[in-house]
Amino acid sequence: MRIYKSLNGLYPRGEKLIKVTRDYDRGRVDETQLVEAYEADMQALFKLQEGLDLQYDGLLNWQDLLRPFVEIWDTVRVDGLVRYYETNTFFRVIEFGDNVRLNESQIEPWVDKYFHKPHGGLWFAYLPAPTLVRRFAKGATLKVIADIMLETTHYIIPKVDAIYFGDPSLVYDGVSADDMQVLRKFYAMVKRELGSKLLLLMTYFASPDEEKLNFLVSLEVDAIGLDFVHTEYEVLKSLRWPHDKGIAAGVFDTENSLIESPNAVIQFVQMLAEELNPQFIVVTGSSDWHFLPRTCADKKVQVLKSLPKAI
Amino acid sequence: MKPLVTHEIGSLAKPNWRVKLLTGRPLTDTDIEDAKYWATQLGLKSEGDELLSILHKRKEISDQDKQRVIHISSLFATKLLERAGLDLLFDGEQHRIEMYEHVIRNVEGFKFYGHVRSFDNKYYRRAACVYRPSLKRYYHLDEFNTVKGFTSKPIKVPVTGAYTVVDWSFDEYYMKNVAIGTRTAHEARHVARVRFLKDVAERIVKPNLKSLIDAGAKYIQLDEPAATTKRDEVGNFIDTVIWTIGELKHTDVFWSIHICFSNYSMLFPHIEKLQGIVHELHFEYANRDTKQLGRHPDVRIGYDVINQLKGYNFVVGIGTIDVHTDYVEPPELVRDRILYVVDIIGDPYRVFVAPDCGLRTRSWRVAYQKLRNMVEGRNLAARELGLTV
Repeated sequence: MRIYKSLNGLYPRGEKLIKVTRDYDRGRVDETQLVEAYEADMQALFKLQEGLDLQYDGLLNWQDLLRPFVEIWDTVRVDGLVRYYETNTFFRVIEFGDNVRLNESQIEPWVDKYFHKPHGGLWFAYLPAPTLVRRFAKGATLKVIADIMLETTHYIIPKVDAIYFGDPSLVYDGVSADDMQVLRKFYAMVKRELGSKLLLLMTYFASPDEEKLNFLVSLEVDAIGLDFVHTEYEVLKSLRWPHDKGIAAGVFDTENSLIESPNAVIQFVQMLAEELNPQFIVVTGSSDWHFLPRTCADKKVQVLKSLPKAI
Repeated sequence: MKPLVTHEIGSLAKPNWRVKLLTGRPLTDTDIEDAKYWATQLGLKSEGDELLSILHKRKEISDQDKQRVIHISSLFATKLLERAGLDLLFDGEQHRIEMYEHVIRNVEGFKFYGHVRSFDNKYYRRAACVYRPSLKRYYHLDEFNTVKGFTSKPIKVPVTGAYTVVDWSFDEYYMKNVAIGTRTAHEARHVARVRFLKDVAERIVKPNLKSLIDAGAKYIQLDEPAATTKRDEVGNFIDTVIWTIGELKHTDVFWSIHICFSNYSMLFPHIEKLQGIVHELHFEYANRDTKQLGRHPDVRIGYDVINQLKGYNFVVGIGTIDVHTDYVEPPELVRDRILYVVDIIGDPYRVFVAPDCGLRTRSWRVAYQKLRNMVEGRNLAARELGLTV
């Protein structure tokens, strides 16, 4: 079975960039130095990813998964801090005003600012799923969020080879029947625009129950991501995994620094392949990698890179 | 105990003159002026002169100079809080680098790996537990004894709680050889987690508490911002507090727990087990409240969890000022927040007044003005309730 290797979510900034962002906040360096530091860190990350099948820019200049969108969604503003699920990281709530609109005059430079082409592999864009945005949003329904996200995604799709949506909320918080309808339509429309390009929906921080699993595999996406730090593979056995759908297996624990043994990862992925027989497997992180310091994350990536291309 | 006791939660910013001197960076005239300003404001002429003489050296700073600057920043911070009118004092944690790192540096068995983002461009250094933790030295004793010498007012010592130390650390010791992805593996992870929590509670935090009590501490606050981080572990958090305090509950210490930026409803009904052990529960509220004056639930939306606390016998510590903004809350807003809570709890002696959290992200000038207004707001509330504070 074909094994794809990929990172996912916010990747940690390097120690040097961290220092520069701090210095910038304190007025010790100017914007040129800040931009240079981002560029250097991004180039290092591109180099690190050499050999991975799917690559991206690590979202290094994103303050969190929502903040960039405030710049192009008119009437949306930033508010107070809220804990990001069960982590020690905090996001800022975004507050929607009336009649949120995409600022189309700014969309091209915005895409250039936040999505950078890697040197190799398939280029994927990593985006927050509508349900994730809703958790940190005030004043907007899931439908409103899905609509504006769809409109925004429209401008990203032509640039990239794949889109990942990160969605802890779907399994962690759960969704209503109405939400399911909105999400079903949303992913179908994104997939329609993507055509043969890959669409991955990554879930994190909780184990999906049977109902959520059935919903997930019924969506028009190419692969479902499961966080195997929290998901017991036994729950998947109740389900006949559709053979036309891949699994993004979050087997690198991005919340702990222990470096995975390549053999243990291979054995686990092999078990998934044999028991579930998905179309393909993407081996990836259990959630965003920025819960780790950069040095730890980079070591885990070396293990990821060492895995075979097929099992 | 008087009604509506006021206190800070812990940290104040480290002044630029202190940070730069300790890290060997050049001081600016503004930094020197800031040192002068606070020496004058706080009426600390001789210490101010000593500080300025060290700062003016600008190079060839000795270790002794550095220790004196830490000592003076601790004095200044304590006096700042005293001058703001707070009832319980500390020194803005001027002896500590940061609430987590301070602990780890004084404990064997951990290794720092680098920075992890907290929010925006704010980071904290995160360590991994690599072997069984043990205490190197009592890490609060010196600062407690120092602050005792600065004031005759009661001192409240903030101590990072064991659950938070564990939750903010990676685990390479207890979790070693624990796999992922299967039911058996998840059970093993749970067992490893409990062992880690119990060890940090009993081998690290508790001995420090005992040393503080032996030195005369009467108010101890366990800082547990991570308490409700994991919904399946709230019970573990409660157990960890019980392991930490243990038989020390029989001392005459007033025990407080501070939690912030969390989903407090997750604590119920677990906190019932802390009755008779912990006296005060302090949470952050102002961050989630409106800035409008008034005492109606529609306006005081940040304080809805108070209704859940009503049925317990804890003192309710309330965050009345937001620590993440320079907006200085008017005393009338603080007053209304207090009166709203007192109305629900029904007893002003069971309400303590504080900021949401430590004010370390604010400048001293902003922090001071916020705290002054907080105390003034408390005074307005007391007046309205016909109380003397």
